[in-house]
Amino acid sequence: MANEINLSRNELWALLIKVFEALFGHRRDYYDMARTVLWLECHGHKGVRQLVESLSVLADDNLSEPSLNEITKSHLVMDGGGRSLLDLGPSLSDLAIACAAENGKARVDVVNVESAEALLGALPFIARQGFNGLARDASTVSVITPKIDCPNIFEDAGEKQMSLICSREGVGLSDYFDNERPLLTSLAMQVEVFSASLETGINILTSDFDALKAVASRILVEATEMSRRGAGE
Amino acid sequence: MATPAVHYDDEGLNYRPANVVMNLGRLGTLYPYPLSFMRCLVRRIMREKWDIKPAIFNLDADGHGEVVYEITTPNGTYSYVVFSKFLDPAKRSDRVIAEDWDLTVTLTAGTVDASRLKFLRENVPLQEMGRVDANCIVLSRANKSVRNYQNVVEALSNGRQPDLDEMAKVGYLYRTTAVYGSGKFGMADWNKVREKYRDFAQPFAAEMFSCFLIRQFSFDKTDWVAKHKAPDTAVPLDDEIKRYIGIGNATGLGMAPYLINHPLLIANWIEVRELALARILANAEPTEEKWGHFECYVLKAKQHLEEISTDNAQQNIINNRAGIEIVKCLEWFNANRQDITNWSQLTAYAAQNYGVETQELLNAILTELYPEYVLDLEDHLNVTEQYDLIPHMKLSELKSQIEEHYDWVLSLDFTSQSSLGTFWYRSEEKEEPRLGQRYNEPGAEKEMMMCIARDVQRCYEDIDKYVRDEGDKTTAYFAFNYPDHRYIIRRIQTMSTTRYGEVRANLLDDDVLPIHLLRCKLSFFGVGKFDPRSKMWVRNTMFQGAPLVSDIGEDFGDHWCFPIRPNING
Repeated sequence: MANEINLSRNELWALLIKVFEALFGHRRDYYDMARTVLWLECHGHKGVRQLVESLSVLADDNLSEPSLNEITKSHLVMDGGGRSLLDLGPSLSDLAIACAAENGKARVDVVNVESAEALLGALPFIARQGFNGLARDASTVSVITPKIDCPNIFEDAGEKQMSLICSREGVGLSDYFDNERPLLTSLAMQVEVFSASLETGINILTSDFDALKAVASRILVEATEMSRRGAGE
Repeated sequence: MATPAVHYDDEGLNYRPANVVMNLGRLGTLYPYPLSFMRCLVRRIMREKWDIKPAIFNLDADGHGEVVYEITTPNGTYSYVVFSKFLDPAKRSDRVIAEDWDLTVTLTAGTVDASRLKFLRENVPLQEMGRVDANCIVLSRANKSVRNYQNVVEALSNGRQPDLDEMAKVGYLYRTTAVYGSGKFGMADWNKVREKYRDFAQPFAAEMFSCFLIRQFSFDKTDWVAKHKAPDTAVPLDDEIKRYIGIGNATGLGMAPYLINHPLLIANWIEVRELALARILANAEPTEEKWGHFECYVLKAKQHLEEISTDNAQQNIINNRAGIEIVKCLEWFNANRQDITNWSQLTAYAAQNYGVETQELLNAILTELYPEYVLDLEDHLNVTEQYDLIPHMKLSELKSQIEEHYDWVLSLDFTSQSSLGTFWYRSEEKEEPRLGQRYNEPGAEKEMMMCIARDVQRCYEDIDKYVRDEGDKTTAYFAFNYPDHRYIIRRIQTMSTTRYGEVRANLLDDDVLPIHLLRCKLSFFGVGKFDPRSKMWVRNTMFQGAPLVSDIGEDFGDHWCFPIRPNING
């Protein structure tokens, strides 16, 4: 389409790294933030759109740092301080994994965050570490198993509490729900989207691409005669 | 859990230690060896008898126009598309910031029809400013060595071969100024290449192939132009001379961040190389036959070094010294022949008596002598890079990892200005990586993450403090409280599982020599004849001595290392 641009995965990955580097400098793990968005985009979860919509929050230097409240050893509550989950997602999965490693199972509730849809992006980190994971937001619940790169996503119109659950043993839906839930997006559908992204690249809106390029350009340094000597001239 | 690095453990082998191998100065002396990527590629082309022929050859008398080479391998068909044009001499530049070139090329999957050629014609000549698609594998460009090109055309059109003395000074007709792959500008991702285009599933195989075919085009074009200039008198360039001609390359700082951003890959390349060497030193017997081969390689290497033409005085000193010292090794070996039962006696002698350059030259020669200990490692050069945090690792264990695997970092002193005097950044001019002086130039707040040593040291200090204040918690809690350390922790946890770990250097020091990083990577590509133009960029020659496309199907010995001037008169 005329208003879209086709990017390779690697090209998008490189762009995302620069965007997060521009937003946070070395204050955050910008590679893993980029990895979250890339995963979302390549599996059909509109990672780029979420990122573009979150840019103002991500760029807000006045937000406070997130804080943790330990309800029990295996139940934490993270107050995101109004930050985006695209920023906090990696930390969230870290904490869930670490608690589950010590206690067999862990639950991290999340409050006061933006870009709630990005919670899904925390699950692959959990699966790669050999754990089961379950992510619940206002409208869906997603379940991932160890070493599998994407979850099954089910409809859930239940409680509004956003939670990430991590377990050494399986996390079955029956542990959390009385009734069966309709499957919204299967693992197989996401794998198909992922394969297509490798075969033919990823289409994103040109306007989103331009917005991200504009942010990424902040890592570039003005060219001067002196700087050209810094390339060996 | 994080995927531990793969180790290639031949039981009981003595690998050289990381503190020796990963020293930046030593990495900057590495020579190409049989597993260098262009060597692997050429062996494959020759073994599988790839069919490479022009499907379209549409050049005018000046050699401007379009050529499409069709390549048929056992696995598929590809097209190599060349756009050759007149270039205003004032625009000819090797820098990445150039915007016009003598020729631009792409390697694309399948055959090329008229509409595909139109699409490529509209985009490939624009290079970074164009867009290609996921069927393209490589995008590249090259400029003429004007003096050499004109001399060769002039000689051929007058019915004679070019002056070899002149040829030897440069060694190529064209030089590449950028070779892009791995999904840039819409091209196929590396994972797609690896899965779908198996012929190029080795590291940088497609990029090397592109350089190989630019070399071929340089011959085809030169013969074509000479013939059209003087149809009655022109002769084609002699095949022996063609084999001696490579493809030039100019490599700048852009290659350095790659080494730092892909530490697992680099550690793997190093480990495979060291394994090959360790196998030879442990098992290979210096028989009379191998001894004879060794002598031939030493003499060839010496001549090769003598023939390198560079204006860089320091490089000349290094080359001369290595040439002299490698012959001294040979003499020592001859004098002690009856007592020598193992090549490690020779490498130990070289380590005690001669410079690092000579030691690594000797190691490269040994790997040439024993393909039987080396070539089965060809399929081990790829690695899946994954740098996952291990959140449940206790901080005491993380601290121990740093003390064991990054001990060299803890001994660095970052308190002086000079230790942090350099910063690496990307310029707004095509994002070209550059070096700045931290205390004299603007832009340090945008520096690239090339400060691994400093960051590890800072992380260690903060862990130490955190453990004292909070106790031995998990990495997850520490990273939550110190998000600025999360990346470096992932890196530490991952690289601590490798045998060789990180390049050992403070890349922020005033006296950093990036050229060592460039040469290290180029040696893995298989590049020789280094001609440093400054501490930040180097000219070099690729595929010099390699077989020609017309040699495919003929006997092939894989002995084209240390290329030397052919013994014929131009």
